[in-house]
Amino acid sequence: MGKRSRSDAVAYVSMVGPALLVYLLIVAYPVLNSVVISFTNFNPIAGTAPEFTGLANYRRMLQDPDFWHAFRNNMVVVGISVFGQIPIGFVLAYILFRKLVRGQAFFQAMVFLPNFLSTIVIGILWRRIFLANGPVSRVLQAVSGDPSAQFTMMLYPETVMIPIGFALIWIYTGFFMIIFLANLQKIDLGLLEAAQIDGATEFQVFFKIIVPMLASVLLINAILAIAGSLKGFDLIFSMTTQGIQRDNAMVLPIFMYQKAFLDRSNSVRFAYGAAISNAIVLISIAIILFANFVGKKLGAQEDM
Amino acid sequence: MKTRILVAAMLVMALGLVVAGGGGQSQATGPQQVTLDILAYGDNSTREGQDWNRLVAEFQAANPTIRIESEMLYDQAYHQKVEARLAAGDVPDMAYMWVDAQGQAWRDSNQFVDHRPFLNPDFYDLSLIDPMGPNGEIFQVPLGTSNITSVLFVNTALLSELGLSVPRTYAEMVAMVPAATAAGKEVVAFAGAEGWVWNSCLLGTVVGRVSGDGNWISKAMAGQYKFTDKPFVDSLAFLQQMVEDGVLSNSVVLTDYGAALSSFVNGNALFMLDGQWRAGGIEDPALQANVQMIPFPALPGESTSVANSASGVTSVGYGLTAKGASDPAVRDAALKFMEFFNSPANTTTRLADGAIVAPILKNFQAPADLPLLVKEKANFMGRMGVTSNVVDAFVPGEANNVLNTGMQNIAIGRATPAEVAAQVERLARQ
Amino acid sequence: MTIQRFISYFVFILWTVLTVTPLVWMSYSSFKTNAELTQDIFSMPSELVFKTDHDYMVSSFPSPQTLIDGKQRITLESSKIRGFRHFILVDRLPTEFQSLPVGQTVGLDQLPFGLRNEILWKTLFYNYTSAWTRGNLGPKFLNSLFYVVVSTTLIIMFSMMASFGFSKMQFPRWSKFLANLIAVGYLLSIPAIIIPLFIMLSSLGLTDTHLGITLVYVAFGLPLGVLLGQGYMRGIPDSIIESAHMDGAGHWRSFLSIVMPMTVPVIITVSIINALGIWNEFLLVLVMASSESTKSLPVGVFSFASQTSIELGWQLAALVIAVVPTMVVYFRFNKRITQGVVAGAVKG
Repeated sequence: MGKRSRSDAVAYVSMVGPALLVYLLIVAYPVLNSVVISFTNFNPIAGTAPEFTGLANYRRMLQDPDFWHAFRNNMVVVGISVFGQIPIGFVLAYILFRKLVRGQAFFQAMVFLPNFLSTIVIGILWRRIFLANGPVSRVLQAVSGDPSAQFTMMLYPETVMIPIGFALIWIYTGFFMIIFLANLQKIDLGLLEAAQIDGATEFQVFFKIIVPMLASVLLINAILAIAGSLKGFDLIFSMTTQGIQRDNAMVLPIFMYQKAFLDRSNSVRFAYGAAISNAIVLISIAIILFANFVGKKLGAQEDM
Repeated sequence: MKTRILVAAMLVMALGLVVAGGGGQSQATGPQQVTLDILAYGDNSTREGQDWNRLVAEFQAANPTIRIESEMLYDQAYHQKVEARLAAGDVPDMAYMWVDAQGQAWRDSNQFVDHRPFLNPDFYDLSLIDPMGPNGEIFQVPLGTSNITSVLFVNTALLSELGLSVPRTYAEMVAMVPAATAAGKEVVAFAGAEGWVWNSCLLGTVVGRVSGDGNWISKAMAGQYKFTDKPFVDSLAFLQQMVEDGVLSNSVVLTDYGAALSSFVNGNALFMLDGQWRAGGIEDPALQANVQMIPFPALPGESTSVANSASGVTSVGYGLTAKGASDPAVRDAALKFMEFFNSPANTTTRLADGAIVAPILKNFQAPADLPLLVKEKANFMGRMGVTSNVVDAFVPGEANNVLNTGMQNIAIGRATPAEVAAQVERLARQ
Repeated sequence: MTIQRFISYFVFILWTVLTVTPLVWMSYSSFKTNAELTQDIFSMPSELVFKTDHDYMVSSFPSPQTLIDGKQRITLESSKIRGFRHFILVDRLPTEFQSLPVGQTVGLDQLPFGLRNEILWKTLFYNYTSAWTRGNLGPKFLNSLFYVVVSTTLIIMFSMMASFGFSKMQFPRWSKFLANLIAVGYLLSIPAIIIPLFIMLSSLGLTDTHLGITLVYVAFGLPLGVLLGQGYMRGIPDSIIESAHMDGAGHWRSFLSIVMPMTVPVIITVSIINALGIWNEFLLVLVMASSESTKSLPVGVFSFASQTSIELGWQLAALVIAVVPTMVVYFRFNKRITQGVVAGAVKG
């Protein structure tokens, strides 16, 4: 027994060890470091020894109206992901699954394609599209007959998330569509037919059979979407010009970036940035636990 | 069997990785060689950036004992790298340096060194170099004299086509609006989608004119004035006025940096408001011949002491860091490279490319065959009055960001000048 | 046609148009000169496309090649495109052109057919060759490939080994704790810890090395690998492994010869997602890589796309260069990729 378990332990360590080592060194240590930094006035540029400052950085964050603005925008992005990308992806997958369109492979490829483009490239392209006298403004001018009409949604805090949400849906819906489609294709068609023979309507089939069957996939997708939308940075950063647009469209990672890298007048900017990063991680854990809880209440099996 | 091949292949690759990783670090350094670690500034699409590699290669060929290791970055990437390297204690010997609020990281890490004891007064004309510290210190060798950040480019051909002439006052510009609108033209092409453009290319000049003091901003930062004082609030109100008067179009906040230039070079705007460096973007020789560069026209009731003033800032350039200056061998190598970098021939190239307004060399003779707009820059300097402060050179970080966004909000009617001024005042004093 | 079908077609066709239009615009615009791009963003390319009426001026600009091989060349500089030069061996020119004075204008149609053709082709790809050489994109391309291949391979190896340990070996408490610890990493992104990461790696001397950059990619790729790998391996019946144990197979043996082959769908999924992410990753290389020898393609592309950049044609060509490899892979292996992306996430 003793010998067996020792060799088991050696094998276990040799299996798990490399991943754990790299992970602890590159991810866990800096994260802990960033937790420590966030309670100090760490300033590596001046090279002074950091002093413990308690919750000062966190207090500062919570008192900053920009933080709440970024938080709200981030919740909008989460909302767009969970209630936009996922349902639309589901519906598109369902259309393909029920063969409502021909050229299934072609359309599937086209919807998924944006996932293969670099977000920086996408951002630069969409920014051009929404510019003054750009393509969208040209269409507006043609439709309204007013040659000075402009697409102004990018300018106002109330509307800026609409074009951005549009781009987000365009990019990521294909990813969820493909996951749904693969899972739909495993459904036993005989089961559906039997239900229909028993007099179930298409509507009932969809909600009573298909949705419950995919509940755990929906949950996993929701978790992927939430995690993705809380760390997203590249797209909004490259889609907006510096100034009013980026400030209006600010999400937490951009807020963190601006405070940690661009606010050069703040001597404790790295410590403050670390506090914001930690808050982002905490928020995403909280939302994911909540999604998990809701998912379980609704009967989804947690598989991850 | 297949898996075993796969595993073997993976191991080979992993080994390759270790070898490659180790190989990247090893450097053959001869015994009497000096290595210069330079953080350069540029972009593959700017002349400055394209020239850098050539200059380094030429210099090394002529000086085999000096080895240059340089990395070149641009814009945001450069600033981020400066922060990261200084934070990690990985200080270069020499770098492209801002000495104002944008170069705060160098100041915080005590890397500024006074270059006056090192610079050869027969080579550089020290009187042409802007002082950079409280006691007249020189922290880097600027590429040229003050960089003028606010120039009104005038399309004289278009003006005369509409029966107009080059304006001398702002009121004359306002009077041009109906004619321009009737002809389907914009009055001033201005990249208002970028926050920094409002700051660098417009506000500094306006504050100077409205307050009658070119150094108003630096004095405000020193505590002599408040940003909530009348001159500053009135300056912000003037921006609002420009939009209301139609001098700036209602889509100005949606016009990005490329779009503004494009509007001007295609003859869709009578004027373009931008920095002097933008002259290089006007490529069409026919248009070049018709472009005049003038200081912003006179504001209503401005004092004569600030007539024709425009905002300008100390030119950037390469300087030694405290680390580089601490080793005499490295310092001498760096100074040698700087003299090569600023040689009359290289300076002439820079002048012709439009990177600078005027050189800082002693007895420099400009060649006669310079491009039209480079000559026009000299005319501009002749027309220009005093230099006023560029706002972002003095107002730091957060206060400046809020100001940039605030000006855009003022332009679209989402904020009042008094509100923005109050925010700037609060953040600038933190 | 039913209303459902109509709406279905409408949605998919609209989506396709939205996807294709920007890419088409980017592709054809990359064959336009700077001046054309500033004049009209939608017009078709013209100046670079086989225009035989371009004039060239004999320039005094020395040929870099002549400095090396000593052969005499004449420099022809385009009057249309600023800074576009051809260095032509003197003996390739007809005798009447061999001693042209500097400043003399030569029409393209005056040149011999072969030479003219060569110049026309070079003109067509002017933006591309400029972007490629000025941005030094060749080595960066290889670096990108290196990061993708090596990091993805290591991610797969390490995460599958760990997944096996977590799901098929007898340390359930440790496994649960460690697996959750690694899975939490999925919530983190490189920007979130870039500062402490940079400080730590530079104290180890690992910034600006292939090793350092690869390690970071590996570490950030592990959480997804462990999440998916573990979930998938749990679906493999323990009895298979137990019977292998009965036959005397050790853990490594059953991992390599039984579990790994069964886990191929997850391996493909994790590989695609990570390879794509690493190919497009930008911030890490931007901060960590100082020298040309470690930089990757996105950083090279970005160097053409800054706020004040004036060479729009080169910028677009650089974007196309970055996008083409992924597009080729995508359309070549489209079916396998769309299946592969989800294969590991679908419960077997």
